[in-house]
Amino acid sequence: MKSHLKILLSLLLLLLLSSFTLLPEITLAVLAVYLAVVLDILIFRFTGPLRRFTVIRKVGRHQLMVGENVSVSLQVKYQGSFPIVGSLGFGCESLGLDFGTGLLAFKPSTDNTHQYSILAKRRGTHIISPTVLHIRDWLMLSDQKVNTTDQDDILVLPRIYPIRSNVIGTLGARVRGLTTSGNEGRSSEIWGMREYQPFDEYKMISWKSMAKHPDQTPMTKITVGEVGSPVTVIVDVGDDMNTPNGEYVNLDVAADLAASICFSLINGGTKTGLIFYDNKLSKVIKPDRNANHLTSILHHLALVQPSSKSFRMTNLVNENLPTDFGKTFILIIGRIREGTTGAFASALSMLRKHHQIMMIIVHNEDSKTYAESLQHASRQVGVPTFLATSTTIPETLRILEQTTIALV
Amino acid sequence: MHLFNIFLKILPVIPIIPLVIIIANQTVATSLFKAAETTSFHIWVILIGSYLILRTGNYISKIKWIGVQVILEIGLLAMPFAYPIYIVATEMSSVQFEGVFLAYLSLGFLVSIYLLFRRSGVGSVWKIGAFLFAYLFALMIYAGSFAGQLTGVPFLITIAVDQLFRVAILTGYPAYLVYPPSEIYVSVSMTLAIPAIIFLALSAELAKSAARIAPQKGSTNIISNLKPAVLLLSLSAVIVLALTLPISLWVVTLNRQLVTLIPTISIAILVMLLVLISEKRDHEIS
Repeated sequence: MKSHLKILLSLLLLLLLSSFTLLPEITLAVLAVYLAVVLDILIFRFTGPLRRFTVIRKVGRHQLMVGENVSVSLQVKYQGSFPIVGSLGFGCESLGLDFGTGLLAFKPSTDNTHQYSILAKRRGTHIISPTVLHIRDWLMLSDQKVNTTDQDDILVLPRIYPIRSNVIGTLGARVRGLTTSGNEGRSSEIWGMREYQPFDEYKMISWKSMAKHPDQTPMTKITVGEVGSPVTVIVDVGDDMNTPNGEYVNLDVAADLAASICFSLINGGTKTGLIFYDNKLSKVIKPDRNANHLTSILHHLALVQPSSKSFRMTNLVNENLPTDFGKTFILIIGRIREGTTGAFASALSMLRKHHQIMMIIVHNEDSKTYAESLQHASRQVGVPTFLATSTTIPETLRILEQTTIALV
Repeated sequence: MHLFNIFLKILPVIPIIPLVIIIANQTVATSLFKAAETTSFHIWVILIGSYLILRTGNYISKIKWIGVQVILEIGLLAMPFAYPIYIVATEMSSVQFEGVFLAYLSLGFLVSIYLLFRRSGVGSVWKIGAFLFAYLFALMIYAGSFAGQLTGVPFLITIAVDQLFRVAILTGYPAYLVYPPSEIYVSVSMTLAIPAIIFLALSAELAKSAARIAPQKGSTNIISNLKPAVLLLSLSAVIVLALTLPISLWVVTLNRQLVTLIPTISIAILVMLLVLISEKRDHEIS
């Protein structure tokens, strides 16, 4: 039974008892308290104080990266005639957050502003629940709740770790002798400028821009039609990617790695594609290099979820990917449940016949030994392989960059 | 604000005034002194005093076995009746028994007064209940003492209990009704006591709710912000009480004894219905 009804019933019993004493004064005293409690409840119900509130919630931004903060402000206006107590609250279930003002006394014609900061801990779309206004009557015996704002969505993109050079983009072309064909489309028309990166041709350095630059940083001209060999990042989205990895799951780590690599490649002018793969093609984004393409890749990486199927290297080998996807594949995979490491390495060597492959294996403490044995097996078939956990992403990317420089 | 706080501290004194008028007179004092001279009263003081010491020091709850705790509590509270019952059985004299009964009533009265002053953990039901029982105990003490002196004994239980079940006279039971001494002063002081007890009960309910809902910081601030609203509720309740006046005046012309029954219960049921309707309406909206 609700607390206010319990109190009213208790008072009613006391009133009956006092009535039976036939003493008018004491009966009036009990009746007065009973009436006061009833008045409190009726005034609260019939004056509709919820209608006197205006709540405006502003979310600082709706798109951000993992590890960034988004500010949320609540502006509350109360235009009632008497003070009232209540609280405001909202939450984000997927981020495990719950915010509340705590119990407040709202005075008539006053504005309250509350500021909160949400740390985007995980990629994906997160829903900030509607702001619930929870008010209580003057004696705090009964309450009313109402949603005062709509829900808000925030898209948390994977975190992008800096990779300075575009050396990965040049890997396929340099190693496999595709330099000529890769640069075939270059014209004399300048498309834009970017920072100098190792292995850029000296004749493409813009010395004027370098002189004008405040830090005298070397700048490289980007010409219309300058296209290196496309690079495709293949991300395992099988059920192994749902395995916990520190605070995250394997797929979160893979998304951060893929986002960082794609960002670096596209910014360096390399056409970059993205494939989500389990035992078949799950999502295919053809290589391109414009800003919208990067945004599309980041959005897909933010929203991708592990499937219920297992990643199969043998199936990937048998896929007939068009030549648009280039000759360089960067594989980001999780723990593999495909039998022996030998079988895996054999499938990988088949793939390597026609492609330049680099592989990153995402693992956690439990799968570390198996990941190391896989790394060893794949290195034996000539595939540079790196290990990554949720805490070693920058380090993995650095080693990847250094290894690629050495290869080039 | 400082004055307001002082007012709040002395507020429980106002409802006590009519109770003091009922109990602070020579009739009650004589009965208490006579009862205090009996052996049963001395035993009562020792046992109840021990109980209160054990209770306030939390010694009873430290006993491992709950059965022993229960036996000890009941023993200490009920044992004072053992000797007077023995006297009633052997000597056919009820004086000692009635003396102990008076002592119990006096203790009940003091506990009720203590609850009126207590600030934490006591809601509106306890406050008004304490006031009701303090009034009833005071009236029973006075009535028992008054009737006892008429018959030459310190205290008369039957007359004291009659005050509790006054409604029985409506069924033809020959109850002996005793009206409070200085009745006019009791009535006048009750007109001050009623608003005071409303405010006291509502403030207590608010403090209890605030402690339950917001036990951490801020509850004091919330209470002080709502004090004007509580004051408004108290005044509104007094005004609404006036609704009972025409019905009461009409009922008095029919049967004076029904004045506490028909108007109060009918209004109580009517407003309870309103609450239930609003409850249903609220449920439908949500």
